[in-house]
Amino acid sequence: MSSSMTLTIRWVRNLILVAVGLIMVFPLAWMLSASFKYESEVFQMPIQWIPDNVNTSNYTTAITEFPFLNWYANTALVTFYIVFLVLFVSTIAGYAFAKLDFKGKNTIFLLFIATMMIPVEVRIIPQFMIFKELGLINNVLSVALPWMFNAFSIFLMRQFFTSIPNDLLQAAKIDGCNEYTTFGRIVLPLAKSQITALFILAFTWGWNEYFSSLIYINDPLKQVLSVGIASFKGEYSTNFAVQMAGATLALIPIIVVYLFAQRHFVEGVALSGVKG
Amino acid sequence: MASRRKLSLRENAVGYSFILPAFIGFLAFMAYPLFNSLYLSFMDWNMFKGASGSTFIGLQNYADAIDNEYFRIGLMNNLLLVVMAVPLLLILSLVIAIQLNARILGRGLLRAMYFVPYITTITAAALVFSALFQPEFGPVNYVLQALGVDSPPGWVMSVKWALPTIALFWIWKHLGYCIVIYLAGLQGISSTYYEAASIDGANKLQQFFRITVPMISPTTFFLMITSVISSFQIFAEVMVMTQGGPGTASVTMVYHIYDTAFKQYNMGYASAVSWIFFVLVVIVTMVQWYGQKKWVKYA
Repeated sequence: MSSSMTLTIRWVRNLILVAVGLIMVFPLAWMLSASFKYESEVFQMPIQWIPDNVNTSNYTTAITEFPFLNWYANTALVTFYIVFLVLFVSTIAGYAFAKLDFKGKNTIFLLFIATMMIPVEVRIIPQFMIFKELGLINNVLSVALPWMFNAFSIFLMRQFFTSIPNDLLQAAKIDGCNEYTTFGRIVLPLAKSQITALFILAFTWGWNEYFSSLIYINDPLKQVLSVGIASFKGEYSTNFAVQMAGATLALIPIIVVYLFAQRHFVEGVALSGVKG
Repeated sequence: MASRRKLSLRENAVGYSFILPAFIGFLAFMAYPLFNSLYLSFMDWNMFKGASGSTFIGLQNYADAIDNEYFRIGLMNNLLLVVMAVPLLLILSLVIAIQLNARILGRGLLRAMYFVPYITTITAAALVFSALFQPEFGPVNYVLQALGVDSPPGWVMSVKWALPTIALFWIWKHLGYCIVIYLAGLQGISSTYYEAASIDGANKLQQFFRITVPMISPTTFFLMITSVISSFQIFAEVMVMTQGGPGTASVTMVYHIYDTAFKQYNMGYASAVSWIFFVLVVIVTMVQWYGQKKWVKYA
């Protein structure tokens, strides 16, 4: 193959990649642009990406008509709980399954892993009734608590901890550490990047949690963003500009976090594909 | 090791203490709800009747489900979604991942562009898609008309297109995730295979089908299992974009469970449907698991 041909192929490839990439971000760019337009201009063609008259009233409408501040606060709180629960429970359990010996270890691990196939829909009705009994309906705790058990993240952490050399743990014990101090002082610092990756994963799970919030929370003031924002479609069925302002408000925090921690997001997801 | 030597009481206790929180979570939010929903599935219980209003009816809920038109349509739509969306998602993401894996300009930026939909809040993104695919004045149909399509699809407003629109949205949302997983897998393939193949005169296409596809098959298997399960659970898309409509065109199994449980409060019936759903997921996963021997190559 001549070198000019390879060069052409490379250019074509790059062009296609950029074109598909633009299609991927097109909806979000369009959303942002439309959120600053007057409703009459939203669907004007061809698309005017930067409107002549920048209109911020859609945002004012969204914020005054809907309890956005509450939604932000509730979403942040639920994300905080979920991140805490996932990190705490999965790191210690993952470590135990990787490095400690106890009776029934393999059976329990298998039992945990098997639960990955159980769809959340199977558990949602009994859980709804538990939370109703406990008076936790309309409380973000009902959304967060089930994350106390997450087989996927336990598995992820176990996979990582198995790669820590046993000699290192032995050495720590000879130096007078018990299992708890070994874990806290030796293992956790080693796992910093994996924990960051899991942190990011748990953060997206928490920020975007939808199904259980929809079911356990029905007071609009106690609601989270993902469910709250969905109500825009009903309330503003004919005002797409306001819908887009609302969608932008819901997406900005997570996208800003993503831009700051891009590497960790990608690492976290890549980690989720670890094999056996 | 563990079986050879006797574990001391202390060792056991330390191990259990590490898994205790997870185990409590497992009992409270997995084991108990699971058995409870199985129990409920044999009961006739509308939540409005209160705890006393429940009666044991055996397999009646299951029989009702199979008789129910919505259930059958939901099941059918779920299967259609798998067939429409999963192969397309996997092929697209493998092809893009291979291109992105090459040394190209702006790789990092491109990767970010593909990945951003995956982290977006699903309901907000679904609002945007509904606007873009608005049949009369949405930008998508404008472009299609400009390209010479006389009568572009009605998308979510059309019986024929509602489900494909949901599939398109789902693919857009998950493409970045699959690309990242594929990229991780591709980086595990040693370049010596390709070098040897090009010395033997294999062209790029041959290399793709003879080296890349088989070498990456464990990743494809992983993505296939997880994507099939995730496409079965499609719900938020339906909730925001179509509410199951028009008519019953986009009813899915999870939407049917939600509707019967939390709109009609028919908890016994909904539990039975959720168990059928669960068993179906297990069967589909098992079929894939045993099917893997035929095509997944482990190095």
